[in-house]
Amino acid sequence: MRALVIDDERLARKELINLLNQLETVEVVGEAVNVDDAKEKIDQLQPDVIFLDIQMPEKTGFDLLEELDNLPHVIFTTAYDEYALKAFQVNALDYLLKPIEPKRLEDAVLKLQGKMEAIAKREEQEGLGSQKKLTLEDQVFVKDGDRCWFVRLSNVRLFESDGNYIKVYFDNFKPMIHKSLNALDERLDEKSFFRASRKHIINLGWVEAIEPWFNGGLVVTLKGGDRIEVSRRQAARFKEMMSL
Amino acid sequence: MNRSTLYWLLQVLGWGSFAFVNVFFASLSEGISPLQAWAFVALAAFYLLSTHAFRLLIKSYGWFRLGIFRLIAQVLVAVGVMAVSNVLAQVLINLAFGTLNPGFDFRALVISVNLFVSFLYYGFWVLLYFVFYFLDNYNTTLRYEAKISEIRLNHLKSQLNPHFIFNALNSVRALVDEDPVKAKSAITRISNMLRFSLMLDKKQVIDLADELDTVKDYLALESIRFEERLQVDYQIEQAAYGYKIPPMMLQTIVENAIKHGISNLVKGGLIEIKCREGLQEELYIQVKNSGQYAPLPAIKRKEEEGQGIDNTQQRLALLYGDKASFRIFNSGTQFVITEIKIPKQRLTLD
Repeated sequence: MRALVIDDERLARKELINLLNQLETVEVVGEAVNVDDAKEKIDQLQPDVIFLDIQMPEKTGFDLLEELDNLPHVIFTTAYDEYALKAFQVNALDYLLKPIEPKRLEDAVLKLQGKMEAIAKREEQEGLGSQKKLTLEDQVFVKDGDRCWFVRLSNVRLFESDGNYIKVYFDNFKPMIHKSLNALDERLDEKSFFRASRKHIINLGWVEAIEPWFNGGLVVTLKGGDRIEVSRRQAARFKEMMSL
Repeated sequence: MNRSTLYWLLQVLGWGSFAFVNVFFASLSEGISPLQAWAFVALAAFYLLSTHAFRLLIKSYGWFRLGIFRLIAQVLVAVGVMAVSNVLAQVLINLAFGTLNPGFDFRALVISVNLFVSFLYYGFWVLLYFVFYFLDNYNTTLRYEAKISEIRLNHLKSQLNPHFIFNALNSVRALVDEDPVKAKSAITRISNMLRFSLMLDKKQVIDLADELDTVKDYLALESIRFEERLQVDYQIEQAAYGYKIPPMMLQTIVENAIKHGISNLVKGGLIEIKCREGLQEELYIQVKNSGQYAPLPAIKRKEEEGQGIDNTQQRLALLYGDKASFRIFNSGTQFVITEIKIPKQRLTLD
């Protein structure tokens, strides 16, 4: 796999690259010294995985993830960061503690490789057409104040637009991301997600009940109790999709 | 209430009630003329003035720093002298108010009773004064110790911060191949710092030179990490080495300069440490770093933030009262300056 190392400290990058060079499966394609540099290099080099330091000057590793549209796989590297580690209690994501133990690094890389192979296999089965779209198995990075999540899209039941932001509903959380609902709609797989109205995108896997509503519209009840109105125009499409 | 207001309040109340009680009982037993009443007030005023003069003497000659036996001896002599002067003053007051009765007042028995009574009054005053002083001092020392334990705990928890230690170790790992000599010296410096912070014992102050050694180790280690992004400059006057400062105080300021200043700047910056002696036997320590100081509003602050500043201010206040000071301010748009002023004399006893 092709890896990009992102850290503001030269010696830290050197140390990690040394370690990575000892692994046959990893090819280090570049290094970046801050968030802006990293964005450029990711666009240019399209790495499979980034090794990302959290504490960097001006913008943190989390800021980078927020700014990226297409996330490569991420492995965090951090010296000691109660705050950062707490942020990931919610989901099992890989991070490496500096100084990095070679064995831990190898394990993390192996695990990632397994994951990448599984994804590649699935894509092969499903054909290349769906490659660009975000499917239920994809994860998105969400940050809200001090907390961060990598959320699997299958767990997201609802996206709701709120001004320039989108509220992402999953579990008991609804953090906001800075994106437009239209842009998101284009990237989501239409087999799994449905644009119910100007304000809402729902996850079809979460639909529990459907009732007719005024003016030929519909109201969809999601598991967990959220009730979302489907506009008249979309209701026709919805019926068409949901019928045989 | 500050201590000087409290002192005056107690003085006036105490001697005021002395005059009142005397006038009251004299009027009960044999009736009293207004003139006699004023004579008592004048006597109370003399007591107040003489004890106040005594307090000035105690303070200006630093009696609190004497050994206990020396102190008792000197206090006894002083109380005796005051008692004698008080008896003389009584005669003069009686003379002035025309209440002198030579046949009665000059009898040996009356004079010795007067001497004895005023000796008791002075003795009582001195006792109260010293007891109050020592209790107050003890209280301050206790508060200082509570504070220092808290600081030590916080320090162990976060300030000799794991973030720094692990980053330093990570750099050293890379250095082992690149520059073994530098790697060895870095390991020594890390050991020095660990040892210093573990041995941060109950000492309230340490030599500036010792604190500076730790700061130098620390900055040398951060220089390995930040490389060309960190520039360090020391300007230490020779006279500054004659001072003692609270342990870890400069270190904490410098760590904050790195954490909030240098490490947030892509291009890095400068840390400049200046120590110089002021005109009135005080030490000025100034830390200048690249960056800008923008305190967060109290509500948005997280627990640790701002704690360094509060801790430093409280420690200075406990050790030196209002003789020490702390300030942090922006110098232009490029730099932050943190400055502490430390006097040579401490407030509390060891």
